[in-house]
Amino acid sequence: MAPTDNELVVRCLQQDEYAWRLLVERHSHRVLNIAFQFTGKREEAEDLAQEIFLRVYRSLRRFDLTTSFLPWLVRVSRNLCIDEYRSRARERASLVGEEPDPERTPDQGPGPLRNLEKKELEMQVRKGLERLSEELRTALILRDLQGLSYTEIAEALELPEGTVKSRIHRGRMELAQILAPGSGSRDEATEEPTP
Amino acid sequence: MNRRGEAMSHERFRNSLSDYLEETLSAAEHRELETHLGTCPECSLLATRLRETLGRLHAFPRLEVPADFTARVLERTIRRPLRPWEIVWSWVGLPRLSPAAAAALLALPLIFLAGTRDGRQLTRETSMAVHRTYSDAVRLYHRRGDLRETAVAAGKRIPGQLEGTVDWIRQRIGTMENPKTPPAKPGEPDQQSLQSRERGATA
Repeated sequence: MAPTDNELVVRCLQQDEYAWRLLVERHSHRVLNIAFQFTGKREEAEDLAQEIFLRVYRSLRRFDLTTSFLPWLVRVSRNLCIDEYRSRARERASLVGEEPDPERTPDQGPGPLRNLEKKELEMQVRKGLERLSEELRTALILRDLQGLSYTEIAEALELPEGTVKSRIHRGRMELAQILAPGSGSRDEATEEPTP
Repeated sequence: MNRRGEAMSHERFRNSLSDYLEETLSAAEHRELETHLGTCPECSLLATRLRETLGRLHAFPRLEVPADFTARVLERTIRRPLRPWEIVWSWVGLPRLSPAAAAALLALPLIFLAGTRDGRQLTRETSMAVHRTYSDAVRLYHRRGDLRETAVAAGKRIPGQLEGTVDWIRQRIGTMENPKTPPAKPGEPDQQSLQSRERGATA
């Protein structure tokens, strides 16, 4: 039977390098995609994901072994992503950036036209997410892009579950409004960012 | 239902739309909401948009983890840069370099001592001792046949008479260094061997 995350953490604290490798391999996809969904750029996401694991490794001693590892990992990831997002916002960098590398993303379906349409829709969603407030965007990313449960999100964000549910619903409603056909917000979301 | 009551009803249904789409409403709530959606174009449109938005979020592309990602993370976490003395030790510790490293370690004190008078004396004596030991070993090797014959002639087994054998070796080497004493004939024990044999018998 595969060891649990907490068992691996205990082994990491005993300088078991193999346990750390397992932990990284087990969560790299999630951490990388959290970083990608916040930054929108592959290279930045990879760098940020490495920073997240570095922070996690250095903070392992502070992890409370009576709690679950995943929400703690998500909390660390989210904090670093938000720090990064804020610093980028200060630099007036756009969240809508590079398109995902087709070689590193799942199959986009047949035909270049369909790919183009799909990329355009993705860009709208990405820009729509950018227009949400930080708290709604975080909740939405963790729920609808990362697929975490309400309980896990509540634990990661250190919020009551009811607040989390409310934020997710509000985030969805606002995003639906932004992406609605014919809405001025949607047209704005489709526009290229101004330098 | 008046306008205020109707607005509250819309608000209540709209707040339930996420639960409706995630299918976490009870059966009764689900039926009630569907009935409302069938009669309210505004809420129905909102539900449709919300469903589309969720679909687009769920279809959002995911990055595949690069093949070298874990290695890069391990590089930055576990595999910290080696300290200078660790780098030296890692080279010295290589199996192919161990003999050379051992010789260098032995030579270092001699090189250091060669700079002093006592050190030169010590180096000279060390060198002489090494040469003498080497020469004795060579002589012993060339006369191993004599040793065996003498031992047979004396009727003794070498392992059981180690002390006598060592005496014999010393005498033989002394004879070689002092040629005035004639060596014993082959197959015939010399005087010292006989004395040694007598001591062994007495013991």
